[in-house]
Amino acid sequence: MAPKRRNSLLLYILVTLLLVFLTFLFSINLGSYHLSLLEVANTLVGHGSDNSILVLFEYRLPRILIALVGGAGIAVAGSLLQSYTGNHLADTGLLGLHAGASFGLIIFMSFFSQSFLYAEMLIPFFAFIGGILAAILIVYLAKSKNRTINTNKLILIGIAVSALFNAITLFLSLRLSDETYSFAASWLLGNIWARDWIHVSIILPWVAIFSLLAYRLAHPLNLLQVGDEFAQTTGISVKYIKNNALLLAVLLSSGSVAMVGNISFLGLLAPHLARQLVGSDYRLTLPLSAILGSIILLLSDTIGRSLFEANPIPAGIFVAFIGGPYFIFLLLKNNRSV
Amino acid sequence: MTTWHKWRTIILLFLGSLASIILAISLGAKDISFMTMWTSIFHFDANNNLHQIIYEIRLPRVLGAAFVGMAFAVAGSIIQAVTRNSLADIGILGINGGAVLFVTICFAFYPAISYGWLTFFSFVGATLSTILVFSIGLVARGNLSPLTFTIAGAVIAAFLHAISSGIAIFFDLNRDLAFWYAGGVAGVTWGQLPIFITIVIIAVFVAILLGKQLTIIGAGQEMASSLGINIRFLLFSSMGLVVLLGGAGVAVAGSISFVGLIIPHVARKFVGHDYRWIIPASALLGSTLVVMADLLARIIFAPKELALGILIAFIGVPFFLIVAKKMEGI
Amino acid sequence: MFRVSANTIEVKYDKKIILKDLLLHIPDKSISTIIGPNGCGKSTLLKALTKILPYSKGQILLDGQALNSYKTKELAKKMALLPQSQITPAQITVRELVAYGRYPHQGNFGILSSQDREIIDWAISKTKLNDVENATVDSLSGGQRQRVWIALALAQQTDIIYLDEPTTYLDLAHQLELMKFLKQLNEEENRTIVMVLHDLNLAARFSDYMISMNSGQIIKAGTVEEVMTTTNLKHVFQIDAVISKDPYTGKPICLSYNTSL
Repeated sequence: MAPKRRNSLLLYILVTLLLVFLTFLFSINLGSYHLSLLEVANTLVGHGSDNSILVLFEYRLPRILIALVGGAGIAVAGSLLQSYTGNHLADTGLLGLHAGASFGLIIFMSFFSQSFLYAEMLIPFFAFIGGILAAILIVYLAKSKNRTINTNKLILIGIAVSALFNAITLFLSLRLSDETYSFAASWLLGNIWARDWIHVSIILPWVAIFSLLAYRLAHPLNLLQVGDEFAQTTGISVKYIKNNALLLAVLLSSGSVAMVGNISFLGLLAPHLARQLVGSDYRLTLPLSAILGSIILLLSDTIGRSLFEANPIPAGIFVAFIGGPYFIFLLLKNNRSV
Repeated sequence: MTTWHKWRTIILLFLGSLASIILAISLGAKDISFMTMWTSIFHFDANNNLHQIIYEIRLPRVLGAAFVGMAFAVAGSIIQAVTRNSLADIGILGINGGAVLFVTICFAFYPAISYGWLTFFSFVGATLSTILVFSIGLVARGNLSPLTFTIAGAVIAAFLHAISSGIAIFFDLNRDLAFWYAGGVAGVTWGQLPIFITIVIIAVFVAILLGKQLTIIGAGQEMASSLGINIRFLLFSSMGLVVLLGGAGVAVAGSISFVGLIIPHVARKFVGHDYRWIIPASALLGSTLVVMADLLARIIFAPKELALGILIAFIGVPFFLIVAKKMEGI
Repeated sequence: MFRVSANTIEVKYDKKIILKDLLLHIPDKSISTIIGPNGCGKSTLLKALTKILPYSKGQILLDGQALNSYKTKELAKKMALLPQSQITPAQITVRELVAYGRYPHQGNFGILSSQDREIIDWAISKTKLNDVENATVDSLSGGQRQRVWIALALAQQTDIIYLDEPTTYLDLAHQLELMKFLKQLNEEENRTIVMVLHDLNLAARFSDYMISMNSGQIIKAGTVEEVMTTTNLKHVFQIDAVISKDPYTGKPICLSYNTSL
């Protein structure tokens, strides 16, 4: 890497971290209970009123942390999935991994949520089982006779499998109870429902550990970009790396969406923005897309709950509002270059 | 396949459709005999409880289901013919999504809107989303492959759904609109039926008239053009029909996907590749499918009802997957 | 001397047998080309030799050791492949792409040592890409782009280089330039070069050893003079070829040909 690019990289990381901080400030200030910056600062250093302590530490902070971590998890999962499929249009939501996770989540919510204290610790595992089921189904269906995967077909099959799992989830929840149904319906729209410290303590280590494992794949993923066969002869165990990438993508996305709801297109948007900024080196784009994913999700959640106080709009709707058109734009651009 | 065979198939399909309608009227919380049905139609007695159930509840619902199925299935056939894409369906491509979005907007800003206006705005929404989907096909230089085109449509559908949901949540309309999203014919009233049925019948008739041209365009636009077909006119009129059928169907039954995907495939198995036959066959098969699905939705978990849209998705998605798995190439 | 040999191997692709009982020895430190009609299994052979496709029977030996016992990374230190078509990652620069060739010699995160950088410099100057080393690969011409991929393979520092139809998409002048470059690589650095070529005359002009194939088997392998004969070409391509002598090089060339009756 040329030194010039390294400097600009440092700049990017500083700027994006600053953005995270600003989003954080913005988010922590807004909400149905208004806190001024000064009050926030006072409360954070331990001089707040009872009320502001309650709002900040019990309501806002955990929710903000969950949005940040969940956004990062989905974004990294998106990057991994894109290299697994070799298609920059792949998104964990669009390809049905989220729908699979929701299936696991509903099973948990209906049968296990009250089974013992801290049962919520099990959420990511249930979501993961659902997610991996969806992933296996999609990969199986998309494989053609000669064992290659047509990536456009993969996306289309992902969309259909996603519809299937969503229908199953809604159907199951409808059969169980009205509360489960409305939970499932709002989850599908991308509602950050997890708001407590217990959820933070589950999602944070989950995303942190698997993101670090993902980072170990960064350099092999770089080489995969030149095509499977070529990568193989430059010393990459293509199958091993790809399977690992898919597994980590499922782990990260299902763990994250179990907490933050069905956020589609984020796994597409964040890695794309990252690539636009720093090029195609995964060693740089993986961390950068994590940061961007955090910012986008936190911003969407903050806008949704503060701009529309009476009826807060789920974060997923905002992300889709930007992500949908962006996806179409990329699809048409790709079509041209083919 | 001779013409006589095809006529025979159409007659059998018609009888099948009729049988499904009679079955659906007679089965339910209260089972009704065929004789009672007969007398209720031809010698209606306002004091007879069963007659009232048939006339006020079952008949509009079943007729609604039959013509909704017809509308979606024929719209699906037309769109598959024009786009030469066997995965096309007005639900999957987001045309229903546009209609639902406009219905949502109407509810948000003018909750007391009449049914007539609602239908009108449903058309507007369907028209705009059709134009959107097709212009994406035109903007992309070179030909969009069926897979790409379907992906674009599906993403537009997801996008429109997200906006509708956002509006619905903001205006607290979820309860009023749940039906539009899930789709269903439980709420069909006599007030809606005359206009709706007229629109569907006229549109299906016109579609049959276009059948020959729709068949030829299957060989490609250039080929069709050199055979003397006015491509612009054909595209324009078939898009008009799709909008008419889709918009009217959504206004009555909300967004139901997959009918327009499945039925044309089944119809082709019955009558071959000629759209003069595929369209009537699709109309009859579509009505049978939706009437039977609605009947199932009513009785599997009685007294609870299953959303019709979800039920059809359970049949439609595996079907979609099978078709998609068979497709090769980009 | 043979470092690479295939002993009665069978290769299947989706249950269909592509290569059957194939016997082959590749002479060391020379240029070998594989010729044959479409679908005869040339590319499959190349993929089997580079362990991209597994073989179901027989054995491929590299330095006396079974090919499938090598770890991917170990193998990548011994042989490099230039596939028929490559994917260029968006916005990648020439230098960054060439650096990918150092992967088998690196640790986990791909941090370049000073030795790595020297080798990259060498590969870039060898392929005359110095002027464009910081340009993006997308912006290069077809001929330049092909040289970038070759530089990548060079940076791998392997004794053996496989190329699958490297001259496709290149015009006549660039084809010749590429072949001369490979010849030079072979002569100056003793690299073993094995490639699939469509152009018989180009193959005849630059090869030390030719391998002609049809229907998944080797019809004849040997010197250019042994393989470029009317009888052999009739066997391989079902053509009646007129073989003459190249006035520049003295090698056999195919002047004209007709469908064999």
